[in-house]
Amino acid sequence: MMRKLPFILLGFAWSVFVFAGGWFTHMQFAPARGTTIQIPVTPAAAAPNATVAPIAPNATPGQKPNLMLEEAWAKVRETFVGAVPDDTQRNTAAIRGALGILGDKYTTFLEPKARQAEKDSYRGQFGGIGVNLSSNPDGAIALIPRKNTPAERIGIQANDILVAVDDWLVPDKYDPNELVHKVRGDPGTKVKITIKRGDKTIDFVITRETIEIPSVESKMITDTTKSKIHVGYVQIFQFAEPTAREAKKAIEELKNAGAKAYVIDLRNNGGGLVNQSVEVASQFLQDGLVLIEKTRDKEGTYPVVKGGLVTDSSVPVVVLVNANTASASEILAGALQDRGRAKLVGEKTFGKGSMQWLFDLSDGSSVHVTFAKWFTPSRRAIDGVGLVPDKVVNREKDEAVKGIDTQLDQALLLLNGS
Amino acid sequence: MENDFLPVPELPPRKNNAVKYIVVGMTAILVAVLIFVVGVTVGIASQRGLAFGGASPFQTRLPSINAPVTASSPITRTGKLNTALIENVVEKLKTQWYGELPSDEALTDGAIRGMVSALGDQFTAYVEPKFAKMMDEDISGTFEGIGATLNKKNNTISILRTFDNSPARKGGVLAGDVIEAVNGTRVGELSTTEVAALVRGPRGTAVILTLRRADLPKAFDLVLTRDKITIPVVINKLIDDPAGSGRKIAYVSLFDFSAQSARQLSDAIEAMLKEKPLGLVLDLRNNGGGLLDQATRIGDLFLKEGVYIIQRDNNGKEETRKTGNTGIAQDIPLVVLVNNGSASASEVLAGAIQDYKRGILIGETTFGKGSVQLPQTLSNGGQLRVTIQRWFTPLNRTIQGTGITPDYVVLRTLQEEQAERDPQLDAALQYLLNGIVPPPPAPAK
Repeated sequence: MMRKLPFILLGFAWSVFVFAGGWFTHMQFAPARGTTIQIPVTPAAAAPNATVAPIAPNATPGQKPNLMLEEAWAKVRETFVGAVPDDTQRNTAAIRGALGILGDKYTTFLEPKARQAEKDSYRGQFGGIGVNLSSNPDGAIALIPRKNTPAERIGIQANDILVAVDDWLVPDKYDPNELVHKVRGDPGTKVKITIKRGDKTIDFVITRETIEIPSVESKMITDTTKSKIHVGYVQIFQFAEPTAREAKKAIEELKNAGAKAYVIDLRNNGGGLVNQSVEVASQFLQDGLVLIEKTRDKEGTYPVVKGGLVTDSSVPVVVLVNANTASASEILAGALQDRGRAKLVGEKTFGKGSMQWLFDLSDGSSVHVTFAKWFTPSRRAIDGVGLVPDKVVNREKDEAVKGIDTQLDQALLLLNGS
Repeated sequence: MENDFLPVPELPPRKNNAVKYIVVGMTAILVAVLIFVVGVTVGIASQRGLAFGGASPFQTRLPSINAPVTASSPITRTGKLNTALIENVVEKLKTQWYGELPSDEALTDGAIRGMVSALGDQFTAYVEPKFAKMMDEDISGTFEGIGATLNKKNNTISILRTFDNSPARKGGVLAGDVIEAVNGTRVGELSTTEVAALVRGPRGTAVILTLRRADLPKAFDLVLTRDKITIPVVINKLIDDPAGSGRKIAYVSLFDFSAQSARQLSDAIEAMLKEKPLGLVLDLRNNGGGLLDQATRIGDLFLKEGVYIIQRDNNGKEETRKTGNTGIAQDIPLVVLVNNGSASASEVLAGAIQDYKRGILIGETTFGKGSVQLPQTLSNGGQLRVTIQRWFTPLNRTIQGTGITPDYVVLRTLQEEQAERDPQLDAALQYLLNGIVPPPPAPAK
């Protein structure tokens, strides 16, 4: 049995977990590589000092395409020999078709289930059971429960094979968004998960709880063979609503524990919310600009958020980047590099220098619209170019297998003054 | 035409849309041929003065069998577009989109194209107004092109074949070349109909094709001068037994199912039968189809009385066409050669011959085009080509998507074709002369 995943999340290093991460990790539904998102409908998420393009309440209606669509569809509906897609599929296809002519892969339409998953991801939490999914080579879906979650407590074991959700048999060709949608739900509600373990088929009825999706992980590097000084290591997986808060907490804890320098790991971070990136930059920069945006008719700036500073400029910082470091990650890395606040180590970054508004639509779907290009404080263009690290270090083959990290080692060398 | 939905039988009005009608029953049915057609199929058909009645696209010679496609079917399927949703998205683009916003017309074209693609039927297509206009101009004026047929698969448009002495052949275009652009216009999401419109033009003018070829690292440009394309509908010859026995096999290839096809084929076979051949090879390779009516009359040549084809529309309404018992070649041993370029009417003919065990099929699985498109003009000048019927063989086998699998699979590589070696014809001759069944092809590595 071969399962084909309908989409791969744009080459993330963890693409094995395809849609997995979303269930509890930061990984999934992390914005696909290259996401820089503004959410105008959520005031809390709007950038401070936002110079974002205003939304005109009444756009010029122009000539409505709808009449033409109605006319065309009436003909199709009446005469087409086969089954005709339902209205939702057709609306979706029409919108995708219209967006398609823009030739911009970042101006996209998200169906309600995909939008819900994205929303959960940006919110940093959702109602679920805390299980990760992994697509096996044979196409089966293996479950991996996260520690201290409803899934683990009820007895789901690593590598149980998912068979059904609420008696819905997972088909060979499944839509990951639909699957995730079925497993998730409001905390307190129940979901029945049917698994196969060896020859046995087991049903679990699990009460959903709030599952957190951490976007930051941190640790102190104390290995004296690698670094003479204590280095605070902060890995940011994506820029979601809690990210700046989580990063601040992590840095403060490391500072209190005696960190003399920091490594910010943005490798494989595909981006996310702009304002979060600006806030994290503001934890390292006293003042000045983080980025400049240009919409089709005006220019705006995103200054450092006052009072956000966590480390002063005497503390050295290295930012780890790679080819999957994109969008909001590049904003942070570019600002710190431009302003002389950090050295970049690793590989050239992805080069996604456009920003999207995220608009929610009436039926639960949403549309991402590219509204601006952005530039670093010194007006470097990023789009299609990327950031070149101060110290280029390419990963060797099999580093994960060997348990080594040459890019991190190089960062530590730099922070130790060599 | 007005915005109002019109029932099929009234579309399109015959007075100025004769050609579009032809397309229905015609080769245009096959994407591939429609194109090269670039001057040929549509042109020929038009010149030969085909006029289709208003009732059914196929109603020419067998009116008694053909009821109108949908005589009085009410609109049974309902459903409204979520106009608010679509308008909302367009409004967001207008206020926020960073780049230069395409015109409303372009957005509409994109939306219709997207909507149509949701049907999942590669033959139901939207032709943008500007291309529809080009097609009209072509049809009213010249029928000239480069002499190649196109094929669309997996969203790429490639050359299916080129014709002897055509600008395409002489200019170095090879079967299998993928078209990336025509005169600098990216082919992208366009339908074959639209690409054909770009390729066609008056004799003597130049067209630049940007092509990609499997064994070349980069796309390249070819400049071709359009010409009048003439392709004989029927080619026939008597082939002597290579072993020198003196026995003969009659060979006839049919290029398409256009207005004169049945008569020309009949004449050719009749002439050859006088030489008392041992058997007959009917070559339908790369025959993209054409008029169903012609296909039925050609079926008459070989088959006894019986159901020839079953047609079904979206209401499950069924029509059948039958062959008579009047043919001149009902008994002679018959081999039909088919390949992936055999489509539409070719598949109807080959399928019926196979179902009735009238002859055997040698070659490759056919194209799999068992459906009919009705072109309908929209009020914006664009054209919607909607699949309105599917075809089934007398034994109710489906043609659409699956094609007809020959009794004996014999392959012919591009290299063999270029070297003018023909293992498929050789196998047919061996079968008819000596009863030798071709061995199965070696499994691909």
